[in-house]
Amino acid sequence: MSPTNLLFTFSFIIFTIGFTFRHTHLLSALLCLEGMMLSVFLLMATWSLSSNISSFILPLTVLTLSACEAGIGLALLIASARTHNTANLKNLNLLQC
Amino acid sequence: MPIFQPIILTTLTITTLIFLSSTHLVLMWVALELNTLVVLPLIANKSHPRSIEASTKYFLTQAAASALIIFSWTLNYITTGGGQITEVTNQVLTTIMTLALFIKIGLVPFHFWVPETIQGMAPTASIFLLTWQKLGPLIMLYLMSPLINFEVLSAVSILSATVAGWLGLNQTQIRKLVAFSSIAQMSWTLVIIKYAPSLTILAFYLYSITISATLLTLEKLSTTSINNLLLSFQKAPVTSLLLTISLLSLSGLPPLAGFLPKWLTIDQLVAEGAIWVAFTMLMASLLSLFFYLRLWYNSASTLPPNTINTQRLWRKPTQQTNLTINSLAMAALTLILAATMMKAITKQEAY
Repeated sequence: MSPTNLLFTFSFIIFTIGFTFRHTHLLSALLCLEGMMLSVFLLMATWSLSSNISSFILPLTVLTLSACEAGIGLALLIASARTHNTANLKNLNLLQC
Repeated sequence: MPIFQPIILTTLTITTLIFLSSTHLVLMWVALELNTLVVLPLIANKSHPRSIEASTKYFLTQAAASALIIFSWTLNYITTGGGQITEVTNQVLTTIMTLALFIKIGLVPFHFWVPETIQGMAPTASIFLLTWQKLGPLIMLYLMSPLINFEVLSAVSILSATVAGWLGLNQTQIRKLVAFSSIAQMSWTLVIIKYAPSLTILAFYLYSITISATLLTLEKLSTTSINNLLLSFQKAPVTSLLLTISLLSLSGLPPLAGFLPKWLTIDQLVAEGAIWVAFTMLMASLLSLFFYLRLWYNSASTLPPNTINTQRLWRKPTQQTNLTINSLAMAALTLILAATMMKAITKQEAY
């Protein structure tokens, strides 16, 4: 695996670990989610630069869908700030077992 | 049901058609993303704290699983150049993708979102989450079923069946019980996908019919906890009985149709030599049998603690007949047609 690919794989793993550990704010989880998609985008984009593919639309498609996800994530952040009065992850405890 | 219901249903149909007609993984990933995004208005129907919390938890887990799927595909594409779902040959990447699909389905140890999300939704809307949303990951697992590591699969299935059984023992909210029963049923559905994928289709088909009947009767009876279930027999005896039949069919008792997938699954597992997997899952299904029987007892086999003079309340007429619920629940009585069902649903003879 080339150094570029290794770098972006490692960054994806770091963002995944950051997503799974407990944060205080919902926005940290959304940032880590965006970081994961960004690493995947960079993997695709740098691979298309190093290989002889003339037009590779796939990174743009993935980026579009991840932007949609980010928009929905922010909408949910604002919705939970409105209903729960805060976006703390500890406050999302109404539905516990 | 929200006001954008036609858009949601149309998009769900389109994404499922994309799943059914594609083998390239990126197209399936696009369909998975659309599936997740379009079902969020169903969960967050009202601007209520519980609905928003349920939709937040659902969105975070499903989005993370999608990111894992596209990551493992990208690594596979870069190293081997194969874009189809059957060309992911690296064992590590197959395991990452399998675990990401298990996050989407909701198996242990990734099950934490299921009870909380189902608890925060109306019962009719949760039918979509428990049956329709699992079609996409199931189709992907079906297509890559020869490549799945059976040790990972059996470990996750055994864990799911046992943990879902244990977690369901102390619950009083019926929607959480339905969520735990769905986790256990999906573990039975998926344990056999490597050796006999047609049984996965059969089990999923019967499970989705039965759980739709259960959730629709819960919506009709307007019961959310076991306390309210005690009174439902007076209000609507026929609907209560349909709930009973559906629950007992989910538990896998022999005169009812839910026995068929369990029986054939155990048959195939023992034939492949995975005897301890079959034994442990059978023991674990006793745990879920306990809470199914508790629901049956409270709905149709006991009297409520208040004083009743009549079998039915006469003041409030309720509409008993509902063709959807009746026909879905009657599917539970079709065990006698086991060979026909197997041939019709899976296009193969029973083994």
